[in-house]
Amino acid sequence: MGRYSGKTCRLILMLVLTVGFFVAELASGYLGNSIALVSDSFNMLSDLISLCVGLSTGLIARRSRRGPRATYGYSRAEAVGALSNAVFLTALCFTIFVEAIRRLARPEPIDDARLVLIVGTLGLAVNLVGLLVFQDWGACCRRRRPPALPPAAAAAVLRAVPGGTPTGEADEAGDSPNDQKSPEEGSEKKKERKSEALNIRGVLLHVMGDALGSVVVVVAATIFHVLPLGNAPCNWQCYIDPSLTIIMVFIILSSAFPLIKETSIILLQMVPKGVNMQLLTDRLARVPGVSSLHEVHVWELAGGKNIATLHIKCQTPTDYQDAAYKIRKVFHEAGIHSVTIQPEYIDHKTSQLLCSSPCISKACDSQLCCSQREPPLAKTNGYTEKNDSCLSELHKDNGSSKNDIEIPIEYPLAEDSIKNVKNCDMSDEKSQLSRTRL
Amino acid sequence: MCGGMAAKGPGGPRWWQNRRARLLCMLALTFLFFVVEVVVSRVTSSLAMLSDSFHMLSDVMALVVALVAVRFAQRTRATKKNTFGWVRAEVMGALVNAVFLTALCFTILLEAIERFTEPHEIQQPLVVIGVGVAGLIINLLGLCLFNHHGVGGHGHSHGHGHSHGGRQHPRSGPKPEQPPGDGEAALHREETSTLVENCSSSNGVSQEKLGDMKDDMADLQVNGNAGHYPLDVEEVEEDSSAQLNMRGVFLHVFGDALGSVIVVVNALLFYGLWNPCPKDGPCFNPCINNHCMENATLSQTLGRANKSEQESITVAGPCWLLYLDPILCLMMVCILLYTTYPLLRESALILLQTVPKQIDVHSLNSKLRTLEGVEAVHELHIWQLAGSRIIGTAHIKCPDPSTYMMVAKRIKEIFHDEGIHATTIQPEFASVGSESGRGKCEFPCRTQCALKQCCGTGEDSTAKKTEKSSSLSISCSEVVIEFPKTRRTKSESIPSVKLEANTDQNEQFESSL
Repeated sequence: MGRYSGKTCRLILMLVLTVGFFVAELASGYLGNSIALVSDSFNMLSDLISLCVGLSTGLIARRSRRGPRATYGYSRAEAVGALSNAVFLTALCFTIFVEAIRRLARPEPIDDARLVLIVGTLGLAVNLVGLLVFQDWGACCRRRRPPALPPAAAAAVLRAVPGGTPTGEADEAGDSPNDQKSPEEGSEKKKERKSEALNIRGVLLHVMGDALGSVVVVVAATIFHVLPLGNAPCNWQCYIDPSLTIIMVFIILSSAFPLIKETSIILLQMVPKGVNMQLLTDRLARVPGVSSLHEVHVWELAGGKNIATLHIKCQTPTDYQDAAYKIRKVFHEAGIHSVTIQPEYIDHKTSQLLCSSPCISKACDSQLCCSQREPPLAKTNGYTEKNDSCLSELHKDNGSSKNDIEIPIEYPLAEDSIKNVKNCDMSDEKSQLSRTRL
Repeated sequence: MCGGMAAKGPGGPRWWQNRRARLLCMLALTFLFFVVEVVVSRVTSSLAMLSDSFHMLSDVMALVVALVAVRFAQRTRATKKNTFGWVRAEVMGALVNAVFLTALCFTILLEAIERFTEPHEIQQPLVVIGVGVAGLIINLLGLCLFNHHGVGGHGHSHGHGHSHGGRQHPRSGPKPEQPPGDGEAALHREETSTLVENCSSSNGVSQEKLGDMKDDMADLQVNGNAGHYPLDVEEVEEDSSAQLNMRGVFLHVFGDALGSVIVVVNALLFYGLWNPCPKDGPCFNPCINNHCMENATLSQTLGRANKSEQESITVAGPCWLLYLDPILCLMMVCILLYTTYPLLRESALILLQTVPKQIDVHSLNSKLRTLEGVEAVHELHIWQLAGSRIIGTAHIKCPDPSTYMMVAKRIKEIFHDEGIHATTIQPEFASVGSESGRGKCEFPCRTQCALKQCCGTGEDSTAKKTEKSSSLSISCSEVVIEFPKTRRTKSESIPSVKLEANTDQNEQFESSL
C-alpha cells in the first residue's frame, strides 16, 4: 500500500479544492472591488489552516518512527491535532459570536445581495463537496492497494486501514477474515477506527462550520434579494443574519465539545473507555501467586492502543513467572496489550500495599507519578493489613494539619504531612498507611 | 476580595503565591472592566470600544481555562477514571490557551487586512484614549501578577517586595543566574531552558534544598499552617507544568496589553495629528478610496471654488494615520505568534509523550546495558507526565532471577540519576532456546495483538528476519512469520530502541496505510 491512505487522499483533495476556491475568491474580490468576497475568502483561509493541521498531524502520526526523541513514536499527533482544530474552531466561533452580537446591536442591511448570494452559493457548494468527501467512503485510494494479500494479512490490514469498511476489504482480499479474529477484536477495530479518525473529525468540524456559515449567508442574501430594502431603515430582515449566526455558533460548539472530550481522554492519560478499573484490579488481585498489587496505571496511547504498568508483590520468582502470564491474559481480555509488570518480592518490612522499590530514596516522592504515601488502586489478595494503630494516629494528626487540597471522594483520608509519615517511618516501617480499597 | 483567597488552595498562605488566587483576582478585574467597557461603548456608541471589550472577554476565557486546569491539576491522586491523577491538566490548559491565542491572532490579522482595504477614522479619540489607558493599566497589573510566576520568574521579579526571594532561591539553585532582563528576552531564554533546569533541580541533588525551603517557609508562614508536605508538592509542581499554564495566561494578558498600547498610541496620534472633516462646509477626504467621490467631488468642488474658497476647503488627512492602526496590529500579531510558538511547542511535546529534552535515551540505554547481569534492554520508554514527573518503563533481560535481584537497585539508581523516579522495570529471564542477545520480548501479548500494542514487540529487524523458528514462548518472531506483509502496514513494527538496529530502517519506512 502506498504512502497515502483513504484519509490522507481525501484531505489532500479537500486542500486542493479549498486553495483553489480561496484564490479564486480573493482574486475576484479584488478585481470586482468587493469587500464581502475578500472577507469570505479569508473564512476559507481558516478552513485551509485546519486542513493543514489535520494533514500534517496525520502524516506525522503515520510515520511514527520510534526514536531517541520519542520512544512511543508520534502516534499521538492526531489527538493533539484534533484538539488544536477543535480549540481553533471554538475561538473562531467566539469571534463570530461577538460579531453577531454587534450586528444585533447595530443592524446593517446586506448591500449587494446578488453578489453575496452568488458567492455564498459557491462557498456552500465547495463545503458540501468537502463534507461528502469526508464521509466514510474510503473508495478514494483503495485501488492503490496491492490486490493479493494472504488472508491473515488481510485481517491485519483491515485494522490498519482506517476509513475502510470491513466487508468491502474482505471482498477485495477474497477471504473473510472474520474467522481469525476473536469477537472482541471486532469491536476493538471499530474503536480504533473511531479514534484514528480523530484527525478527520477535527477537519470535518471546520468544514461543517463553514458550510453552516454559507447556509446562513445564502438564506440572508436570498431574503434581501427577494425583498430588497433599498434605502429604507432596517426592519426584521436585518436581524435574520445575526440570529441565524448565533444559532449556528451553538450548533458548532455542541459538536466541537464531544471531540474535545474524546481527545482529552487520550491526552490526559485517562483510563480508556471500556476499561473498568475496579473490575480489572479485582481480577488481577485474584491471580494466584500475586500477593498484592499497586501502582496500576492504564492509559491509551492513541488509536485504541492501551498501555498498562503495574507492580505486583510475589513470594518467589516462580510465582512471578506464573502470575505474569495470567496477568497478561487478564489484561488482554480487557483490551490492553502492552503491559509492563514489575515484580517485588515480599519482605516483611514494607507493607503489602506499598512499593518496595519506588525510587532509591523516599525523598523522590514528589517526582513520582503518583505519591507513595497513599497507594491508590492497590489491592491485596485476600487478607488485609492489621496496622491500624498508626492509621488512627495519623487520623488525629491529619485533622489539624489538613490543608486544602481538594480530595476526591474516593479517598476520604487526608493527605499526610511529611512530618507524620516520617515519624511513622522511623518508628515502624510496618505501620505505614495501608489501604485495601481502590 | 483577594485576601479572602488566602486560606484556599495549596501553596502557602500569601495569596499572591497562590496560583488560583491570582487567577481569580485577575478574572474578576478583567470581567469588571469588560462590563465597564460595554457600558461605556453603549453610552458613547463607539464601536471600537465594543470590539476592544470583547478582547477583554477573550482574556476572561483564557483565565477560565487556566483556572479549570489548576483546579484539576491539584488532584494529584489517582482515581478510577485517571490512574495518574489529573496533573496533566495544566499542560493541556497551556496548549488550549496557546491555540486559542493563535486563533485570536488570526482573526486580528484578518481585521487588520480588512482595515487596509477600508480604512476607518477613529471616532471620539478622547474616549478611546481614556478607556485604552484604563485597559492598559489593568493589563499591566495582570502582567505583574503572572510575570514572575508565568515566566518561571527566577531573577525576574519586578521588585514587588514580598517574600518571594526566600522562596525562589532553593528552586533556582542549580539554575544559572539570570539577569533581570526585559520581559521578552527572559521569556525566550526561559522557554528553552525551563525544562532543563527544573528537571535537573528535581534530581536527588536538590532534596536538601527542599529541606531548606521548608525552613524558610516555616518562617514565612503567617497562619502557622503545619502542612509542609503539600507545600513541597506545590513548589516542585510549579516548576514546569504549572509554569506552562501560567505562561499561557501570561501570553494572553501580554497580547491584550499590546493591544491596549496600540489603541492608545493610535488614538493619541489621531487626536494630535488628524485633521477631521468638519460637519459643515466642503471637505475632501482623499483617504477613502471611493472612485466616484474622487472624480466627482474633486472636480465639482475644485471647479466651483474660486481661489478663496479653495483655501478653505479642508482636506482630511494625513492619510497615513489611517494605516497606522493595521500596521501596528500586524506587528502585534507577529510578536504574539513569535512568543506563543515556544509555549505551543513545549506543551505539545509533553502531550505527545516525547522524551523530555534533558534525557538522553541513548546514553541511558547504554548505561543499562553495560550493567553486569543485564543481557538486553528493550521496550525502553521515557515520557513526561507533567512538570518534573517523568515516567519510565523498561524490560530488562537477565539470566536468572537472582542476578536480577542484585542488579535491580542499580537499575533504579541509573534511572534516578537521570531524573526518572517513577519506573516500572520488568525482568525477563532468558527462555530456553533463545539465542538472540538482542532482546526478544518474552512476554508480548498474543500474536493477533501485535497491531494493538503500543509499539512493536520490541524486536529489532535483523532478528526478525533471521528467526524463522518458533520458540517455546510466544515470541515476536512469530508475528513476523504470520504477517510478513504487515510489517509495512504498521509503523510500530520498528525496534524499540532504534539505535540498536540501524540496518533495516528503510524497510519500516512505509506508513501504515
